[in-house]
Amino acid sequence: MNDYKLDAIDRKILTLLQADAGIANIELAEQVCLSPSPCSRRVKHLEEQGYISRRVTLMDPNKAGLPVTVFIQVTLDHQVKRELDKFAKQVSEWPEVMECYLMTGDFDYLMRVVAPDLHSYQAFLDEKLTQLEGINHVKSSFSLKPICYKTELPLDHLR
Amino acid sequence: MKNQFVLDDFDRKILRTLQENADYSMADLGAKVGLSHTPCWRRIKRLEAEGIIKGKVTLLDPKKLDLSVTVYAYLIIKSHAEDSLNAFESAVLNVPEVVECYSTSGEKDYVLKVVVDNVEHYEKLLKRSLVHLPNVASVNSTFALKQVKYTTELPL
Repeated sequence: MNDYKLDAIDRKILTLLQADAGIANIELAEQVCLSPSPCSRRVKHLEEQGYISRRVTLMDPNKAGLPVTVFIQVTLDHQVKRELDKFAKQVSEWPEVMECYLMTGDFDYLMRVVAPDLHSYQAFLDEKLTQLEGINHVKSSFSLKPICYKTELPLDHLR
Repeated sequence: MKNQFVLDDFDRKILRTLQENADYSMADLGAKVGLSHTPCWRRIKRLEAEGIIKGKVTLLDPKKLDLSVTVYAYLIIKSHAEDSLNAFESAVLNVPEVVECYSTSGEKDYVLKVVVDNVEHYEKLLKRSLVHLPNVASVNSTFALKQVKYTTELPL
């Protein structure tokens, strides 16, 4: 699938950029022991090859007024493609939904939803999720405390 | 609540734009949200100082990195004594494959999101690392068949 094989320097560059997208090229170069222009060429190459998707700004959910995180397990009436596709399309459009996966096991979908408070979460359930056709069962589990949240993917397996 | 800082429409516009793309120059960002350079810059500095903006990160494509397996692991722990919980919570931070972890209400104590390159790797990680984290009584793993949505952008 991948023609290009990442070397140790590429992995180091990706590790540093995952942690901080604002790092200056000159500092990045120094940390990976390259001169600035080969370093920026490598970054450009990693972008062109599609390893780097994009650079985003992360916010603190608590400080942004979104302290409530809920995991919702959803079971549909019928696991037919049409219903699965409809559900997936709708869920993707709801801004409260941070993540959603089709799962193996006792239920169909696992969603992670953020909300300002329980009242708003209830409104999300009543006015959005349970209004969808074909929903059989919804089970919520609240996050009491986030222990770790990172966007940095592990790279050690590429060694 | 601790959060005394009230976001106005400009702040929200700035945050929405930066959450989607951290690469905007101050000039482009200002033009997008309808502010001139200096007021826009001042607002960003304030949002950073308040801790609302945590930082800029680079998102990589998991497929290109062969990270095709996402697992949600539900953990039950042995003891709810504070020391034991703390021991688990600090140890789990050191497992690079664990990208998210929350303590949860309900019959399970923690939920972990794990990304790996294949199921064999997960099996090894489970046996060598996850079940040996301090205070873990049992691990129940469920695999994602398909990603429907993943975003880092909080709704504002």
